[in-house]
Amino acid sequence: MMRILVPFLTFIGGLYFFLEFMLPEEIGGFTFGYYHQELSISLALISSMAVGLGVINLSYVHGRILIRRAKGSLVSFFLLGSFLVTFVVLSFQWYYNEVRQGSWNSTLALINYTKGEALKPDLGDPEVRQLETKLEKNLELLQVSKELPSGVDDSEYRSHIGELRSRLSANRLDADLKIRLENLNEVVNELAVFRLLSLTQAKKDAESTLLSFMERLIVHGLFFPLGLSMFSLLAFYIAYAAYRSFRVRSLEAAIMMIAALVVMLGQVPQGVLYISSDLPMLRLWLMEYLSTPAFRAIYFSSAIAGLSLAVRMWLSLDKNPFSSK
Amino acid sequence: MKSKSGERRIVFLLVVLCLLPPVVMGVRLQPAPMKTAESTFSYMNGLKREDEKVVFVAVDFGPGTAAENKPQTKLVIEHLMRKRIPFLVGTIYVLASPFLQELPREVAAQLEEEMPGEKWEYGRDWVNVGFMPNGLISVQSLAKSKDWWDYLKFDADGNSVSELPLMSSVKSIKDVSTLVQITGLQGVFSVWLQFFQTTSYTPAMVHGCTSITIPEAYIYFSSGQIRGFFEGIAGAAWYEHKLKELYPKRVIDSAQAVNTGTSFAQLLVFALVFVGNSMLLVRWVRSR
Repeated sequence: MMRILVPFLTFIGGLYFFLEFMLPEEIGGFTFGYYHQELSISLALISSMAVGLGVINLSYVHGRILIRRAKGSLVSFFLLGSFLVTFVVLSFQWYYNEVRQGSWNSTLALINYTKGEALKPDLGDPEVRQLETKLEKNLELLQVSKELPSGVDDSEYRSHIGELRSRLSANRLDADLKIRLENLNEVVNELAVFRLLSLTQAKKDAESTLLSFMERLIVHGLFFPLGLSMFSLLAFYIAYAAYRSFRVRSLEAAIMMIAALVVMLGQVPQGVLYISSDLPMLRLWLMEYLSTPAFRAIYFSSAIAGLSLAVRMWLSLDKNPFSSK
Repeated sequence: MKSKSGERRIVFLLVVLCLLPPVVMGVRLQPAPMKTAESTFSYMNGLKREDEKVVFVAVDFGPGTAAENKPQTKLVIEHLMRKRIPFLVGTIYVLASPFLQELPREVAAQLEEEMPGEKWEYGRDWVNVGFMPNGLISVQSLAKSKDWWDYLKFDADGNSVSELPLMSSVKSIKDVSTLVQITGLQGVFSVWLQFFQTTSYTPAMVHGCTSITIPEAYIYFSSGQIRGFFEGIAGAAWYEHKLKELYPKRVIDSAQAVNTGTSFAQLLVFALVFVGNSMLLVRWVRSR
């Protein structure tokens, strides 16, 4: 069953994306990619399963090494340990972030509702008046609410909401509907920015906690510097390889060497400062008229190779992953 | 065997010595002019706030290529902030997520220090749409979506996209004037180039790459598909030089420092190639 189902689904999936890309947006009133957004979200969900698979695989492979105390168990211990610490710290960070966001939920709902309504076309005077009344009432509720959201102090919060209320009422008597609607939008935008700034402040306040320190240590103190170090080591090895292995043994190698020298001197400050100010132009000529056509040819051929690979995958002509052979 | 190890140590020491002047002594050399960075600069400088469109900065690099890509991103963000052009930052590369949070805030703080009284606020001046999983499919869907409020739903901090003031006028790709895509990964830019467009609209594109992917970028530059690009750190250094000319109060940042260090290291590499080959020649002459 699987031997038929997998190639069939692969073919259907490939066919959909092929047609979706090739066909015009509408054919006689029929929109082929109407559910494309939903489909792409579902694909993202499927890919996110890979995270789970990765975790299972890591735990299985390294957990076994660790339990058996096989060779490399120390490495496995560090891998699983750092994975667990990172997972716990970042999960808690995420949770507290959600709590902070959640404390502003009623404000957020008010912003979204008012913005959505204000965007509706052909709003008349009664609709705008109703919207203003609702917004004012809700602002009043926020102002007198006993529970404070994250990142604000009591007096600042209440005075800011009060200020927004008075800004809203000041323009309510204006006869021009457009001006009133603009004012309404401005008040809502101001409320949204106030919320964002307060959340940023709440985040800043939380930076002094141990959890935040741990997060910074893991991401900015360990992960990033280690990644950078890995690549910076290349500089040392390239320099050594240049000394040991780059040998000009043929005419082709000599041409390549001269071209590389010109390109390099054309882009380093010393080339222009101490040799010739024309070097960047010469470099540009080499890049535009010699390197680019060659690369274009390479790209064309690799694209054709990619196409043939894609067709083989699409038609399941490659080795069946469920095959027993 | 011992002599090889000794040679290696000497070479490594030479690399360290080459990198010392810019890192420790603060030596900065004026970068070589770059036509591609010049085009990028004039295009970015010509952008106007009145267009009511945003710039989308796709930050697709991780710590591995940050030495080249981070200064490029910071320069673009700084230029946009100075011109008060609103922008979105997003990525299809998971390791770039921390940069999306960190870089705009860093640049905003730097500018606020330079210009007391001026403010750059999240939500009004920039929005972080975060990591979009599934690479190619995400780019394609983002371009096709007619309602980004519904497609993106939340920004990286979990705020509803529709509540952010900047997003009030941004509903689809048609509200994006320019895509600035910065990456050190092979093939990622071509994904954006191919799929971040609709049949009726293609935003202008600018690219930032590492030295390794420069030849790939030239293909798109010479065909006119991109307005300009940063040729690795050398391109960023020239852009920084242009920015300094335009804003003399600006403090020289990392691009020229990295470029100076890299240039010394590159000269060393060539010196080593020369020495290595000279020794080979001497050995060959002696053997005859």
